[in-house]
Amino acid sequence: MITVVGLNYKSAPIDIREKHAFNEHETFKALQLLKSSFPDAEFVLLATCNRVELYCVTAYSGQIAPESLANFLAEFHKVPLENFEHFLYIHKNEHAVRHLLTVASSLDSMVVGEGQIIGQVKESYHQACKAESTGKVLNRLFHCAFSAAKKIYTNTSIANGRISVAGVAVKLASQLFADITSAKVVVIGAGEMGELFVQHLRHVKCRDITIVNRSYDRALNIAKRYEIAAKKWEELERLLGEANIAIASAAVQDYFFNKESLKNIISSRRDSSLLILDIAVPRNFEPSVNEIEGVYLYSIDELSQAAEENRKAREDDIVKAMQIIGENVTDFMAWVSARDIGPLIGQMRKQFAKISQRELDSFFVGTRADASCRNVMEPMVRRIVNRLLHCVIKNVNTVAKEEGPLEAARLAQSIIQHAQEMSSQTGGDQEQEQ
Amino acid sequence: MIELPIPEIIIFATVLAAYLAAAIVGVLQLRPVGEKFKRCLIPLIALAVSLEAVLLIFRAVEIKAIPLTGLFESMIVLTMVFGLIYLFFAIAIKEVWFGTVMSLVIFVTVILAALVARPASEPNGVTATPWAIVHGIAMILSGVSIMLAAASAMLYLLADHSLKKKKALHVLGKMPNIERLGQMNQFGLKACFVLMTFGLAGGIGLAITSSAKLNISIVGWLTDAKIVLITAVWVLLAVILLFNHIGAVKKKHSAYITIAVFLLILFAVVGTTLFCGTKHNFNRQNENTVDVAK
Repeated sequence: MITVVGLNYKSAPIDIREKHAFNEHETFKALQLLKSSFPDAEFVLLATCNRVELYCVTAYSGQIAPESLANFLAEFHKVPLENFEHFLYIHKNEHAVRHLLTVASSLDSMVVGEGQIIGQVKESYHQACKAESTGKVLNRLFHCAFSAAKKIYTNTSIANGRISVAGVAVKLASQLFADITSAKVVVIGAGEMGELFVQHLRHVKCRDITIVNRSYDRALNIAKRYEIAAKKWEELERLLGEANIAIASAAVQDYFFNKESLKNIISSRRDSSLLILDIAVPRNFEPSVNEIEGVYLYSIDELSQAAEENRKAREDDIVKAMQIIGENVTDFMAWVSARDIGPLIGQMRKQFAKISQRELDSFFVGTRADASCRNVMEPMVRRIVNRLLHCVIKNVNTVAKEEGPLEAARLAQSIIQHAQEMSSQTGGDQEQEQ
Repeated sequence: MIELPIPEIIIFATVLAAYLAAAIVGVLQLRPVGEKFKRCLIPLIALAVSLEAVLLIFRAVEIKAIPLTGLFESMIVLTMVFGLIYLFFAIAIKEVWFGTVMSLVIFVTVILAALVARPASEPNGVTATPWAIVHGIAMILSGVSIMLAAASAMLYLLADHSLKKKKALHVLGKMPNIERLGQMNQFGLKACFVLMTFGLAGGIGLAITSSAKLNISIVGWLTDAKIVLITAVWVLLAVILLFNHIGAVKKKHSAYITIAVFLLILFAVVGTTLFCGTKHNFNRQNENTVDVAK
């Protein structure tokens, strides 16, 4: 039985996730505690800034209720369960396997295609190995997740590009400038979109950002918030002349700059590129500005189009990635079924053999004890029992395929139980007969 | 190529096939789902480079000397160094376009090598002089530098075109950034100029000390198509670098000129041998004879 109990950025707000954060030491300690409480189970704890997930594998006979795992999380961090219970998700068996594979291949990440998560999953697995809390099933499951993630990264272009318009703009800037952190950025206008772009540029550690707005106070406000510079409107042309990236988001009725005026402004600069992201509507720059050598003008529509193309390309990749995950889940579950049901089938064989032996023993008693036909009858009875058993096993395998290994195990266990009862009854009959 | 001995034909044909396959893979990897082909590029180029090394060893054994005297051998060394540069840079440059341009340029160069393929011939006596060694090595390395500059220039122009035409997705994550391409272009041009200066100095030294042995007069040197073209390229390089230094030429124009210089060098090396005839030949046959290649 494979279970995952956890919470992530989709299910829980940051203040809840913060309370359940695990550092390296805590992860190790938690795994050791779990292992000492449930020595027969296997555990891996995946803890990143976006998720905390506890993977657990138990035998069907010694299942640990997901609630116990949730309780453990609550007790470990001393947070009452009722405070975060409704943020938790629980996946079992095939769903749990699919979930891990989806997480490892970044399909469940905030930014699909980010490469950090696979490293974090590997690190969590290594921690669990160190704490000796893994076993055959989790070892195989995590290796299956690593290979699925590798296959997805190799066979799809999921790791390329970003989805948002601002993300595309940052990518464009990185395509033009060797060191985006030292690129000079001037933001024209203090609108919401401009602010969003500033956020993205700050995220990639862009240092030299200056905001220019007609209302200097508003510019100063934003500048303080993002720790960037603010200049007065009169300095715009000089700043534009020195800039590498210009983000235009000022409200205007007509173009601020046309081809000629911009040519004059940038005439003194040496051969460096200027990326203009004109996200204002109406636009701040005349489209013909793009014809100037070294100037790359992108309007909001063009950025959106690039983002949309990117998203479409990614959708195909996501479908392909899900197919790869599906194949891996099927393979893994087939292995788990074979592994779980195999011993149960062995037990079934034993019980059936026991019944047939008892029946034979009860038949050949008294005057029939030395009957010569016993040598012929014994193998014949065994053959009949084996044939009947074959039908039963086939049925169990069908259940395993259609309803999962858990159902198949339940069915096998109930057959074994019935067989045990029958074999004990057979013994009773024998006594009565005697 | 048909004049080569059978083992060399087999090896060289395999080299050609490997570079052709690399060029095809280079193009295929640009397709939307083509990234999976990327992993084939390094083994193919590594195979071709190894086979070229085997070919040179064959020739070295045959003539009992370092086989760098014929044009074919020089071209083989050139493609080997191109290949090694790709293999070396592929560690740092993951963008698919780099592999595409490099594989195509190497393929073109190896095709040109096939055009001038001749059986191994014993080296002329002058090839053992320091002047000839400096000249040979410097010229091959300058060829490698201009190839690097040309590959960067092609990528620069492609990236610039795609970004101007708003086809951002064609380049995002697939090409090195424009600024770095410009820097690589400039570095290639500078390295080519410096190495070519050494090469020309070595060549002048060789001409002064060994003209009699090579049976070429001063006028012969000054009117040889290959030498005239290479000197013209050197002057052109000096002019571009000067203009670049004072900021009088745009990066885009510099990229176009780099490609022109690369083509001019290819013509000077291969074209003059095929179409014009040159006395710039260090085979034993050329010793005290005038050997004009076809």
